[in-house]
Amino acid sequence: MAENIVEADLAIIGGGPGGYVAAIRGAQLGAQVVLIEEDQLGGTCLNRGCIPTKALLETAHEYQKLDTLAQRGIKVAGKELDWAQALAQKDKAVKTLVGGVGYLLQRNQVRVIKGHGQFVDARTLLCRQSDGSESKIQAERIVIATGSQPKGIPVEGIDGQRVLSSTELLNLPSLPQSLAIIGGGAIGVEFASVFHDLGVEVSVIEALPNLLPTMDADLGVFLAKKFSKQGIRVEVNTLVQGLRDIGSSEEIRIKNKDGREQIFQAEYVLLAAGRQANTAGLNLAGIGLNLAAGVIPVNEYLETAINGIYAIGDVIGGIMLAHVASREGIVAVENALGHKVKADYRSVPACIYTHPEIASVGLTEVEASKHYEIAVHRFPFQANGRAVAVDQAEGFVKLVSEQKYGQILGIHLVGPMVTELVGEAGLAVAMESTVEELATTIHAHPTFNEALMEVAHAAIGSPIHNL
Amino acid sequence: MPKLAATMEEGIISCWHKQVGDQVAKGEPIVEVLTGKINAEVESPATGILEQIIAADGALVPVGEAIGVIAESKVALQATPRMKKLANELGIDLAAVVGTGPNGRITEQDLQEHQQEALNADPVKATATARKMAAAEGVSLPGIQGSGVSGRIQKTDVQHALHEETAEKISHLVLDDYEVLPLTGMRKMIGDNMAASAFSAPHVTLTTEVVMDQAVQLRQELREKYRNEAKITFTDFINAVVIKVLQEMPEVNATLEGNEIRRWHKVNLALAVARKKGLIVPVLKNAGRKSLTEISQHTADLVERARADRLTLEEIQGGTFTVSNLGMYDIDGFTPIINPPQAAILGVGRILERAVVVEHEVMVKPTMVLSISFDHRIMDGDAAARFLKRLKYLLENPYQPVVE
Ligand SMILES: Cc1cc2nc3c(=O)[nH]c(=O)nc-3n(C[C@H](O)[C@H](O)[C@H](O)COP(=O)(O)OP(=O)(O)OC[C@H]3O[C@@H](n4cnc5c(N)ncnc54)[C@H](O)[C@@H]3O)c2cc1C
Repeated sequence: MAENIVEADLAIIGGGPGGYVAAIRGAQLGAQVVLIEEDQLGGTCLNRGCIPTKALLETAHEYQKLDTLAQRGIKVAGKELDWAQALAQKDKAVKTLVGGVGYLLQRNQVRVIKGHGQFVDARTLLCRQSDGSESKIQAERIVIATGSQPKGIPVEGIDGQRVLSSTELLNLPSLPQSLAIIGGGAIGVEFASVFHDLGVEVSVIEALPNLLPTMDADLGVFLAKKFSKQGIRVEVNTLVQGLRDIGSSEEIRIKNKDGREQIFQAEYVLLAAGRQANTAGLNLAGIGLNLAAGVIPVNEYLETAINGIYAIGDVIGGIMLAHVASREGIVAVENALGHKVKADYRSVPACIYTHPEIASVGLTEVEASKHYEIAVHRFPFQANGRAVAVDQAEGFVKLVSEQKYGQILGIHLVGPMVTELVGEAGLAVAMESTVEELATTIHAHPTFNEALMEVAHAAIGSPIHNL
Repeated sequence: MPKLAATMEEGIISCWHKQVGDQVAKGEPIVEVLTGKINAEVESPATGILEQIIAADGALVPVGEAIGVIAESKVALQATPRMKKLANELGIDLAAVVGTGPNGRITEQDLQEHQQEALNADPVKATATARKMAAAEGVSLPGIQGSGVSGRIQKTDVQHALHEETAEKISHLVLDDYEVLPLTGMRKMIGDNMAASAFSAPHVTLTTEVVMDQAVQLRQELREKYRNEAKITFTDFINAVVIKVLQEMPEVNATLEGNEIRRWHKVNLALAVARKKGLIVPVLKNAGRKSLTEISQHTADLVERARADRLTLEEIQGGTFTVSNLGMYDIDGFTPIINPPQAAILGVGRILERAVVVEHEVMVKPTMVLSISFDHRIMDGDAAARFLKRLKYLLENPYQPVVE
């Protein structure tokens, strides 16, 4: 068989938000770019992550909101959910965005090769296409952007039929009666929110003391209370002991920190206890690239131990978020093409699309207090005009600042549309803004983001609309 | 490298205020140069554009060598008297305005636009936190390389600068038994100057003790009398008497420049001022014409600005005689080194109650030790001795001159 050899300046393995952004950036910088993707462009994020979950979260929220409309004098009769249609809407959104990525790559003259990529040597990749044909890609610079997949946990029964990954749950043919979620991180709580709003009985089991354990503790505490009030069962400090398929449902055995054991049943179990880097099948060992703690180690320029090979996104661990992967893609490619840029993680927003929404950027109170003399201020949405007007007056803004210069170190929010407000907060953190700057910037009234100005007022003296 | 002082042979570029490509106006300070004892501002010799910086910050450059290139503005300034007046009122430097009128004439609109631009321009890009930190720590932002987007100065840049600055200030290897400081900058300048003086001028030092009871009393009275105008210190009082004697004895009020001994008619009294950064010697110009209160006021001003590093080059040049007073350090007496090209320097010790023999009796009186070091190339011992004797006489009999 004649060997098909493709030469490129830059080859990228994986077409998720890390890889496809890297590819476009490379093309913009004038490089000939080859992108290898074995599945769909857009990766986890577009096909089975950020985007489909947000589609379903909105559907679920709209559905649940119908129950609250009576307060506004709107009577709704005959509320009914067509799950298949909900999935179709989600799939359509995914398809649109995936198509968009393909179009962008094409217009940027990125050569997309469909197939599984692996290393032959440090400058050569082998791509095996689904039809069995093979091509070799030779490139001076290679970026590994293979992402991650759901991680298992060593628990008896975890391989059962009723234990699903987030990917499987997104395409469940019909709504279950009940759902137990292992893991109270971002993915776990978002699915809890979706299925609860759609009328499913939901339980969340988290091993650590708080939901959203990587975020500022106040956020997880707020959410746990909110969930409990809504009727979602929240078990923190709790480990899953074992799972057993009992025919029509799954039996879940849990044990909390105090040693109390409980057994309950759910129709399905979602395993959302972390993700693991996709490194198998790349022949990393063959080129002498070693893993550290399951991920590919890189320096601050995102270069691996092998000169000219970079790695970005979920496959390097760190903050496993789509926008981080994208930024890393840009940084790595710029470095690969002769620039010198460091990956800077000082201002990374994280958003959780529950209701109310949760968002955060910068240092948590605990992290900040390790490095600075800090001040912490809060402003409640109960004191925000718009939030009251639209009857969404719950949650708060928490501002962590440094005492000497008033630098804004972190902003943590729960409340209406805070996933959008966090953009302003992120700019403040990235620009090393001070509390004075945020307080003296005029914010439109009535808006939710007045809360950011108000919390800054609190930090420089006293908030106008709170005591 | 301009020759900023008679004895200057080389200078260190302390920092450029302008970058390549910047507009510079004639007379505008563009670079700071470290000469013998101060950081002097060097003014632009022409209006134009700083085209090239030849000697970067920190470079040691012999006098007369080029440190930069200014491309002179080709067109002569085109502005009507009315525009000149307006520019003056608005505080705009016409040289920096680009004229858009006929023949490049500056119009009123040009002036307004220029002013607007000046208002809009933020000369240094820095984050709010970086600004606050710089202000709090006394770090100057313009000199810092920003690591943020489009060169914005961030907190870490200020921290680095701070770190470097302290490192430079102390710049030492901390060893177990001693620390090493490089002999550079101000320290080296003073050292070179002093060594040149000590090794080229044959020094002789004469010493005498002065009984100060009457001087102490008179100074007390004068201080009370002029309380509202000045704070008359012992140093002021002693300097006033020194000035008087120098006026009487131009052979001591002299300098050696090349093959010339210059005996000066005016007294420009140089005053040694100690600072953390290093010794500096501002000059009280034409001191013979000054009243005691004027001497006091001007000295206070010079000392204050010397400590704040705000003296002009003018103010440290042209001294004809130096006084160094170490009384406040509890020094009894010392042998000062001459401040070249001057002929002599007076060292003043502390005033202390000491045993004095008056008409065979031991009495306790405030006394002070004076010493004069002189350059034997310029004068002989008798002149210096007469100077000291006359000075001692006037200080011991301060009420005398009034009736003399
Ligand atoms: C349910 C869920 C919800 C999420 N929600 C959010 C959210 O709201 N916001 C957010 O920021 N993040 C979210 N994430 C995380 C986000 O999806 C990931 O951080 C992001 O997709 C990582 O991007 P990546 O490019 O590194 O990897 P991926 O998106 O995983 O892309 C890797 C790509 O590489 C391909 N690939 C792997 N190996 C090979 C190979 N050998 N050859 C060829 N191709 C290969 C894969 O097919 C895949 O397309 C969510 C994740 C999940 C699971």
